Amino acid sequence: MNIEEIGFYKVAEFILREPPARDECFKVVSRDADAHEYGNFSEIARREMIHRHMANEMTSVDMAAVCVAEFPDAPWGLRMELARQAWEESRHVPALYRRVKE
Amino acid sequence: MRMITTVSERGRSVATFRYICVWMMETIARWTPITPEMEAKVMMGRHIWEYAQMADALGKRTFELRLPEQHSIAPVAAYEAFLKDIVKTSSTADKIAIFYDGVVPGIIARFKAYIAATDEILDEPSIVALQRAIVDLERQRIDAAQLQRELKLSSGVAPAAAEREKSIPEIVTVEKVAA
Repeated sequence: MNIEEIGFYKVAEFILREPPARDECFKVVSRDADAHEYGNFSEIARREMIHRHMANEMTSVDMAAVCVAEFPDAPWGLRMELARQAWEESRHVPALYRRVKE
Repeated sequence: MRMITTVSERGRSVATFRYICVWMMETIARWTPITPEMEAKVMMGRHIWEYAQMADALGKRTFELRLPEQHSIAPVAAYEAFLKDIVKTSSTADKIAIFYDGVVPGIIARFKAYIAATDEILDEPSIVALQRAIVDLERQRIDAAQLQRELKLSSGVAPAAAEREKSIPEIVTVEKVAA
């Protein structure tokens, strides 16, 4: 798969990118309404909440990386910020993963 | 490698190294969203920032070497073609192997060869930037090896890439002098 093969889709007037690649173990949904809600603070509900947060961080890594890759003519200072964001978001993933395991 | 004695040669070399650091940043960034394994994404996200910092340090140095700030010079055609072919690698196992075991060791060797060939006093800022990059690149290879063990990634593509990299003796283009 090439990065160019990640397509686009439209929601109302917005053109959005198709989801990035994910491990097969994940069930991917695009809207909060499609995510499972337990509606309480039980252990499984908290686990789901942290897991969802972790998935958001993983997607943020993908988004920052795509911006670095697909906008080579952006000002260098902006590219540096996006590269730093990729690092920041990738630090958040293991932090939440550790909490999921706890 | 012959001794590097002029500001122009230093500038062209550092600008070429910057080109390679930007290429590493863009390649890993390009691979991140199309790589399904979470552990690989996390490692790549960290490395993108490290390549950006390497490129930035070298880009500040190009200005001191009488070139524009953050200036890159493309390497010789054979090396540029080599880099373009690397980007086409498909599976995660092949990507990690070809990049960290096939390409990065050659880049480390080129940075070390430059440090040995330049003037340690007059060109110290270039040396410092490259030494810091080498430390990061060597640690990244350890990161990649750990990932390969963790995910049981197996690939045989690195040796051929390393051989091709080594077969290109000089990557800095020769300066064109107006007639």
